[in-house]
Amino acid sequence: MVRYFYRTVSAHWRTNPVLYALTVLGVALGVASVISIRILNQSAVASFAAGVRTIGGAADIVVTGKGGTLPDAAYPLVRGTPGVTAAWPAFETTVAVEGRPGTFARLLGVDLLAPALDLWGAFSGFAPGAPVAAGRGWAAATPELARVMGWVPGDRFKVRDGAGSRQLRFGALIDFERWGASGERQALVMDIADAQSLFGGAGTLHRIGVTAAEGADLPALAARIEDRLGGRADAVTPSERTGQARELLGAFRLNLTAMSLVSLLVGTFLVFSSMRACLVWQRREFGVLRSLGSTPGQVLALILGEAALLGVMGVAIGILAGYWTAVWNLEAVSSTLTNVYMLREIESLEVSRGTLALAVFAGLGGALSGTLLPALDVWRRDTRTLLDTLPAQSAGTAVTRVLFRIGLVLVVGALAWYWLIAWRWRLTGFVLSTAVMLCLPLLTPWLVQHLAARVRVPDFGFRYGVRSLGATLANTSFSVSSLAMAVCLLVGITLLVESFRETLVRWVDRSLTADVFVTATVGARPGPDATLSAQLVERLAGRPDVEGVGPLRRLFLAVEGQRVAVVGVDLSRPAARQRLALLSGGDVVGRAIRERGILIGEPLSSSASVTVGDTIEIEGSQGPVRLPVSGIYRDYTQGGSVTMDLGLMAETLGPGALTSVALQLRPGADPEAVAAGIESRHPRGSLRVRSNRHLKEDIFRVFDQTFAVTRILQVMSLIIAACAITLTLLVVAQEKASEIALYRTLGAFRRQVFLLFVSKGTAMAFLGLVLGFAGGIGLGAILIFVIQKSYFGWSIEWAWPWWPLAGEALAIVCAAVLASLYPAFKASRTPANELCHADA
Amino acid sequence: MDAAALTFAGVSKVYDGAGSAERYALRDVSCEITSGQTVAIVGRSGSGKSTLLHLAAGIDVPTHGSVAVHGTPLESLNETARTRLRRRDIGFVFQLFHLLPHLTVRDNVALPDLIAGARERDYRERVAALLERVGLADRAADPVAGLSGGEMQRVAICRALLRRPRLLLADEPTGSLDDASGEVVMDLMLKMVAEEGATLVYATHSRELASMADRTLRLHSGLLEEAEAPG
Amino acid sequence: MRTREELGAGACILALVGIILWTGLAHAWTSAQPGYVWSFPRDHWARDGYKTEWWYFTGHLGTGGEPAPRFGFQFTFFRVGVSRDAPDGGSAWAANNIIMGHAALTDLETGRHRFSELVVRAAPLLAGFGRHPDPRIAWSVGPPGTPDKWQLSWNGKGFDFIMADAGKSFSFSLSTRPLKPLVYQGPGGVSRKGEGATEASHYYSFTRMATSGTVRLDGKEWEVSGTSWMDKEFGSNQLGQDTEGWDWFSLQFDDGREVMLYLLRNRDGGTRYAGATLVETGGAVRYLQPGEWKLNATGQWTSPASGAPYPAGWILDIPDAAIRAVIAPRVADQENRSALIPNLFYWEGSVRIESGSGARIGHGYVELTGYGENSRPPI
Repeated sequence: MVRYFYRTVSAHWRTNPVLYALTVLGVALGVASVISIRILNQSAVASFAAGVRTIGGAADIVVTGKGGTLPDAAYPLVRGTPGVTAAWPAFETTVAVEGRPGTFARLLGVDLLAPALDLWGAFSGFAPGAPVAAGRGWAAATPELARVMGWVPGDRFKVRDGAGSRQLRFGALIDFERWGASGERQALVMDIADAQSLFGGAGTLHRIGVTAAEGADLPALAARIEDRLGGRADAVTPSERTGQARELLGAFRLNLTAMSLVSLLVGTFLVFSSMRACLVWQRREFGVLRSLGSTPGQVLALILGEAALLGVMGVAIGILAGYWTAVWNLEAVSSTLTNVYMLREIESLEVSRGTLALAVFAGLGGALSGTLLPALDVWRRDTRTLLDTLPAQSAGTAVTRVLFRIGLVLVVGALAWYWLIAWRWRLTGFVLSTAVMLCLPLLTPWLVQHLAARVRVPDFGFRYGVRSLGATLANTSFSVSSLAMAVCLLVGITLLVESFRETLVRWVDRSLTADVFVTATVGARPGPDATLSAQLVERLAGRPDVEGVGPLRRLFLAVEGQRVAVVGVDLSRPAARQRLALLSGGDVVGRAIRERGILIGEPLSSSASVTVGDTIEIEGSQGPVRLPVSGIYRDYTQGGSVTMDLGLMAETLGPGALTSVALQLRPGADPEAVAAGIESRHPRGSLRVRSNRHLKEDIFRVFDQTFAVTRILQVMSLIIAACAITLTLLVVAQEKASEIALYRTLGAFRRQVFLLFVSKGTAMAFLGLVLGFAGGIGLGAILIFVIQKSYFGWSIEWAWPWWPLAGEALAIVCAAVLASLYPAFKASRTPANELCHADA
Repeated sequence: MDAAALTFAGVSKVYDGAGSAERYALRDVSCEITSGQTVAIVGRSGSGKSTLLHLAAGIDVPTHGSVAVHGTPLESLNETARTRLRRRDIGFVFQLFHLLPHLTVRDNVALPDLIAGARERDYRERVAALLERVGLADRAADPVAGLSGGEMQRVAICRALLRRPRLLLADEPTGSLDDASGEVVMDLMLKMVAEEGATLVYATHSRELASMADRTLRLHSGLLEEAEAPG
Repeated sequence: MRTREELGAGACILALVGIILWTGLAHAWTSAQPGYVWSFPRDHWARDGYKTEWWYFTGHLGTGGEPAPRFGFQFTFFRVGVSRDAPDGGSAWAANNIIMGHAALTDLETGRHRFSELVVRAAPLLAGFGRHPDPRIAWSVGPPGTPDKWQLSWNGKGFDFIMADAGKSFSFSLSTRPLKPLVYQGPGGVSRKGEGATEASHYYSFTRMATSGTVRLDGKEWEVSGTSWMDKEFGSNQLGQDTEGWDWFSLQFDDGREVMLYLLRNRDGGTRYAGATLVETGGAVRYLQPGEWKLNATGQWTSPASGAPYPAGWILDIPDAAIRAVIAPRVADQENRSALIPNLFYWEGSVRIESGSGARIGHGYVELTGYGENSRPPI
């Protein structure tokens, strides 16, 4: 039997290489779509975790201030906390490196005289400690930065932040790679005293890394540290920080996670149907084997063995393909991370054991389960029926009806469950979308059967093709449901993305009314250290082409325990009022001014469970402040926001400089020219000046980038669908050779058979499209109204993206037609005497 | 109508056997079948009956020699022309009926016209008439799955005769039926062929059925010989 | 964990070496030279301008009025100059010195020895050196995990010092009062360590001080009293390049005399330089010439932790002073091993002194550095 196994497998390959290749490809694609998304997802988090390690070192606990920074005096308190075995302070800022436009570096000030500082293991080419002796301006640079700048030790260079230009001296290389974590690529490291005094940060630290005694109870130690600091700081373990990163990356990861779940489903399903299709083709061979005396068990073993073999090949190819898909899409994901979340880029892809296990599970599991049902069928059947040339329809009406009812119960049950019980539960959306996806294959057979039976056949053309789908119900249903699931995914995501975009367009049109926006930046990025000087604001206001100036001050503070953008604007200005898309009516802004209240964004309102009339606590630099909430506005910023009057802000959170201004130009002034004019008068990297149009473009570029990764799944699902069609039709061509021979005997030309198969493919595409669109609209609704709302508190207005949907539909039909060409060609070559052989 | 409906001239059909051995399905077969005749071809299983019928239908080509249908040598026609000839002039009845399970009785009968691109109004009546003739008018809208073997073969005969072929080929038409219904079906087929004025060539291994033909040819190991006149 | 510590500690020792090398080249630190004009009590405080400086206390403490000592202790502050420039005032982290603290407590009853250490930049936030007349001479935050400070101050007559280590679970707070006058180690307080121009330090001692205070160990507290010895030494680059380590003895005889002696060893193990001081009961000082005394090691103890083989047990002969002392460690393992700085381990421990006939004639402290593979002296 074993020898027979090898012989048959190789014979199968020779006789029908395309079918086998497609089956393996099906498995591979399924596996690839599952793991590529997962690899990207994990790498994004790993990249953040590495960032955390760079900043915190291999610390057991990292202490940060609630208001963003810590006072120097916190250090001895942290260090002296029982259970601490080492503590090291860090001061941090971002600087532009002069001499090479567009080069920025993270600048870390650390205690270069302290022992037990992990960083030191990373220095090379000099004696540590020398920097302090060497006097002001000594800095170590990462190899990447030194290479880019062409520095050799001893070189002097200038860096710039918001306050001006400073001269430093390149003293040594510091290689974070050698330090264990893959850290910042472009960074400077200085002694903390030097960094603080050069960059105006005397008295402030950004974090303190803590090493605990071996086996220490880290949460308890963290609590002790927070306690010693009077609750003004957060002490978190790196895993907690990575956890915070997960939160921060929530929207992004949610997209990826949802997609990887769906791709797992679709992928496993494709594997399942590929294997099934492949097996149907071999029925007669099993009949022969049985008639020659092999036991049902031997046949079953043969089938499962071959399935496992194909599955293993598919998994191997799928892992490679998935990895390369991830590599190709790395840039899209990476730039989302850096642009949207201001994190480091992904520098390496992580392929964890879990991912590999998942690949094996999806591939082999799908292959074996896809084989099991038909294999059991073969196992059960008597030899004669296996040898039938035109077997009766395998799935009776009863079976399809039961499946259909299960599908209906699933959807209705999930909806009822949602409305009655689970609408508060966060994961509900995932359950609902899984239900929608799962019901498609359940509903498909009955629908195909009934539709096919109802079609009248006036000719031997398209409708005849639809009608004949019913004859191969099992195969057809599989490919139609594969397609339907792919279309469902495609449509659901398109609806989400386009509705979101449309909502954003309206919001942006309403919120961004000024002509030119000027934002202070450090290292080309806005941040807590970037402010506009009063003279600059005055100068801008004094420009002849400027009619009005809208001031804005943005701080990032802990609000109700979350890190949120707190925005101060002049609420008395009509433009500032107009900016806010308020959810409630009435003179909300007027009330806010009278009540000395604040306005909060919708996501914050839902995540902190705060509504109008409540108060919220903001952790200012001078201590916590409690303020009443006067209104809620639509808000699509990451992490939420709070808006208040500038005067109230200065009073309660302390005075400070503006971070950006919006300029209203006089009629006739050209915003682009004004923006260019302002920008040219300031050093690179210190200001970001954008016209209204430019800013909107930037917003949508970032938006589009965030969802760029969804393209992987869209393309993947399209390929999967096309694959399913080709596979099904090939199997049909093989399985229905007698039928084709009959047509030929009855006078059908080859081209008629060809067109019949293309019709079948197209018919399947249409069926899949219809089912998929129905499911996709459901999925879109779940994504928009359930998932986004419960996770981010974003209200998204439903929009019908006609053109994108039409384009996708067209693409699917084209793909289906293309996918049916080869099987149609093969079918048309079926000799008419195929019947004679069967009869012999 | 004395012209030859089917002419075999020195026809051999060779299949590639295992290794270099060749297997002769037909060996230098020559015969002429006159229009309107009913001819039975008898022989054991594997004697080449089916091959002969397939060559006659132009769905297979001879290795040597020539097959002509109503004077048209098939080897002079290309694939498309042979298909067109089949569509116009030849009907085929199979041992296993080969009805399509997803079509109704009526649609199964209409299939050749569907394939030929005829309009429904042109064949509606003809289909009804044929089904009436075989006594299945009331089953026209039923799926074929529910029919008995005899009924299925009657549907298949209607399908074969739909386009009024001049030549009807039947390969063991009663081979899947019990004797009683076999005889009924054979009887019906002969009558209808007579009514339609077609030539019938059928393969059978039953002497009894062969005796119903005007003429009987015997195939033995690929060699054709005239059988003794029934008597 | 271990690796991480070693990494950091390796960096630290590299730092110290680096500082020494760098500063040695770039800045002119003042070296110890004859003619230094002493001024007390001002000179008990830190002397900026010299690269290294230390305050060294060792002694024996009895409990409950018992004459037999229960504890031996060591308390040391080192100052390591990083730069001669005044620290930049822009940051509370600005520092031109590193402060290093070593403290040890040996329970002579149980034979257990504990060591505590700290290395901190002398930034206002963390550690510093006082200026006369501020009583604080030196202070520092404690080792990580210890909320309490370490401090050395002048109480008008003697020194007070306090240390704690929560992780090692011991602390002491002691007050001293000199029983004999201050002794210059070497003529004019210049103690030569070699023939090179800078190979000398300014060095003085209080060889016998009444000491009292409290000791806490594993949650227990004792009122203690006893005697101690204090050394203060400062200089720059006082050790020659090929000095591998030294043996240093502070011996207090029951007859009221004291002896300080040291031997600097070369890499080949030979004696590179040696010096000895004898303090008579009345306080008169004699600087002994090399031929006037002889020290022979009689035993050896190998540390299981560091693998370093230390001499253990000596016979000291000073014929002119009628001294023949058999010196033996009270506890074998009194090795101080740094967790912060790799390869920093040395033996610093309490010794008993007996006559040739085995009668007790005094006690003292011995410091042995530079033994074992890659061993580095603290300074």
